Amino acid sequence: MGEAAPTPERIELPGSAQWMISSLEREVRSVAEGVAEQVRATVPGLDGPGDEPLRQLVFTAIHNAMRLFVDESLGREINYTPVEDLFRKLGYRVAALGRDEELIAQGMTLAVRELTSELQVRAAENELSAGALNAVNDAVTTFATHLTRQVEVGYQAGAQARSSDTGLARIRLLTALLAGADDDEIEAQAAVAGWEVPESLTLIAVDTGDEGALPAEACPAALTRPGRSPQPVICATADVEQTVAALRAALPHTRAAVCWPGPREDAPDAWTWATRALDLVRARVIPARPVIDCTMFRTEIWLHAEPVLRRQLAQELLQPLFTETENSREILSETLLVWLETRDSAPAIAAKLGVHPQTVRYRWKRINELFGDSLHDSDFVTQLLLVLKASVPLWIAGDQSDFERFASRRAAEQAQVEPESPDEDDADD
Amino acid sequence: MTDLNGTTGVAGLIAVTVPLLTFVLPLLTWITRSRGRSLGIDVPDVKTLQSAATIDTLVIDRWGTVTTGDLRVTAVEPLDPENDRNLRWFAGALGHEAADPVARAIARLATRGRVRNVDQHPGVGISGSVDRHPVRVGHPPWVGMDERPGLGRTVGVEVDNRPIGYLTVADEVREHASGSVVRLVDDGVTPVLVSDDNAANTEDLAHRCGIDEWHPETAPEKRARLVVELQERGRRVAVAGPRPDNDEALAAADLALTDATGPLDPGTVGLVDLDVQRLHSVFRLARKTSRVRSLLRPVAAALGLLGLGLALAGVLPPLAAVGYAVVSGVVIGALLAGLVR
Repeated sequence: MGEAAPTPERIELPGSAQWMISSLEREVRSVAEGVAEQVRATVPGLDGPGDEPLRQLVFTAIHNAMRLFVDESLGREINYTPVEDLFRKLGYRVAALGRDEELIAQGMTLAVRELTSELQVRAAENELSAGALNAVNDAVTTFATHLTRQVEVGYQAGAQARSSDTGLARIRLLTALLAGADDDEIEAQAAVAGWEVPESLTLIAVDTGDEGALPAEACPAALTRPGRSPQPVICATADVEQTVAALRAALPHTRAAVCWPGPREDAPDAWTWATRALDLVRARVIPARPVIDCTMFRTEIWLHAEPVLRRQLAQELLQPLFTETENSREILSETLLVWLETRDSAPAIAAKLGVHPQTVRYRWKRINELFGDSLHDSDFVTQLLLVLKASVPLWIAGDQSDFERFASRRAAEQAQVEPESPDEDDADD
Repeated sequence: MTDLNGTTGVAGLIAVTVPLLTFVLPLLTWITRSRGRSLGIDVPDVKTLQSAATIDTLVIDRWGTVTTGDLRVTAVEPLDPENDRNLRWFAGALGHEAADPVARAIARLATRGRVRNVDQHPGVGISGSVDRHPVRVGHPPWVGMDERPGLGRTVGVEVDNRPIGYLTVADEVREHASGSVVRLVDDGVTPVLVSDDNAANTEDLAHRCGIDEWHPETAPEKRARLVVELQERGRRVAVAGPRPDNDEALAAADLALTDATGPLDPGTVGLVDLDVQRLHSVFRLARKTSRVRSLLRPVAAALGLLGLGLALAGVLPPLAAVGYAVVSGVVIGALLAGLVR
């Protein structure tokens, strides 16, 4: 942020001035609020519709500066660094927002004038001598000059970052959005990046594969971060079609999962959902289309949110099916799932599955033999529905991990149950 | 005047009687063949029909004669009573995919289904996938089930590698089989049943049809030998059975009765089917024809000579001669009409 000015010499005030300032000590916050309010009212350039974080920063800076001034005036141990940082940050923020530096000067002048005015009132109330009052005014001026310098340093740094590295700023903004950073951070990064964060965002996960990364220039309306796959792309919901078209034009053979729109707070979750959609395409649970509309696959994305839990439930609830042959398991689970979903009659289920109604009746008999009375337990049935809904597509896609896990566990259990029998010859001996 | 009338009467009588005598036998043949066709019997020539009249032994193959030629399911025995319909469905659906009689009988238990990967296993059974369930139908030990003693042919049914029950099929005997056999015997034709089935099933079929002589497990090549043995015992033997299994026996027989289409060899009667009732009709028609034929010539000759004598004696004026000729024609017609009754 540039080179900071050296800390000014410590303020030395006469006792009467210190007495007057000590009367201010308990009212620092209310005075700071008044000064901040006056700055907002007088300098509209610092009081825009989306400037709440900036307003908060102005108040914090004034309040902390006043506290520091009082402490120093009363001869206490002080540290300038936090307040200097606040004023540099203020300058940086104003520059990042693209506002004029003159606004800062106006604000500082106004604040100093308000504070001086307050001190003069209190000097009159305390019958402070002219010499003591001059000493106070000099101290305020020196103090304000030092802080104004900090603001300038911050502003220069912000202006430099803004002008020299918008691309990096956009990446930082995207990272902040994906990390769920607070509004201040996002506002600051958005300001530097020159990318207004809209109310509704859409996140796209791009499986770049062998085609290489999507260049940021390919989607000028969106934020993206090349260099890893899946590559995140964030755009305003209104720009989704345009962004997807640009993406398809740049990487025609790549696959992209477009999440449903949401507020910026949901961006980290949206990234999880979109990348999960790509994972499910790889697992052949979701059809492999060039552009995956996640809205169409919300159920799958939700059901596969907890893969370990699914696996555990499958091992627990679907044990009867795991003892069947692969073909039988597939047929019975498919039929059971349709029944759990629809509770239709045998002919209706048969029509859905493309089989004869008697085949469905036969399967239902087998299912009852396997699961018994558990099928009358509503909790069990609900869990069964969910775990089947998640598992059957995996099995159909060729995922054998559930059965392999079951088989190995069973083998281990059998090995435990069957103790090592001594050799018969040895037993005879 | 008398001479003129007598000469005219003789001439008229000759004019009527000669064609009558000339055409009576061809007329008999024509009527016989017509009658045969209406009964579903194609007689190639008179000689074959004459041969049929002398037959006293009929060797009949079980397929299509005393049976309909099809089998039918006589028992459905699921291992679990709740699997009765499943047993019928899966076996029936698979049965539609094969052409052998056992499969055709089982196919009648169910409608067609979505069947894939059908494999015939000669001598043991059939396998396939019905609605993606592996199904096997066949010899019980082949599907890991115990054999079942008893009449008919019993097959085991396995679904999803689990036995679910037995099906037994047996010959579908024609309703009128025993009545037709009785009429055959009454007409002097002794039926002899030959079958490719085992002894118990053949005996049961013979008893149900009223046949006293039967030969089980008679392979096609043994049937000709059986015909020759019967002939050596002085029997006039006809053979009724479908081709080509019975080709040798049909060739060795005195009369061949077959349902084959196309030109017929001498000594072969073609039938629309081998229904034992139709077989009986062949012999009845042959015997009637033979009887009519044996009567027709002497009656026609006697009527002709009598008329000629009356004309020469001058007692048959021309008008009466015409009337006599008409009466003669009616008599001959009445004899022929006996064929079509």
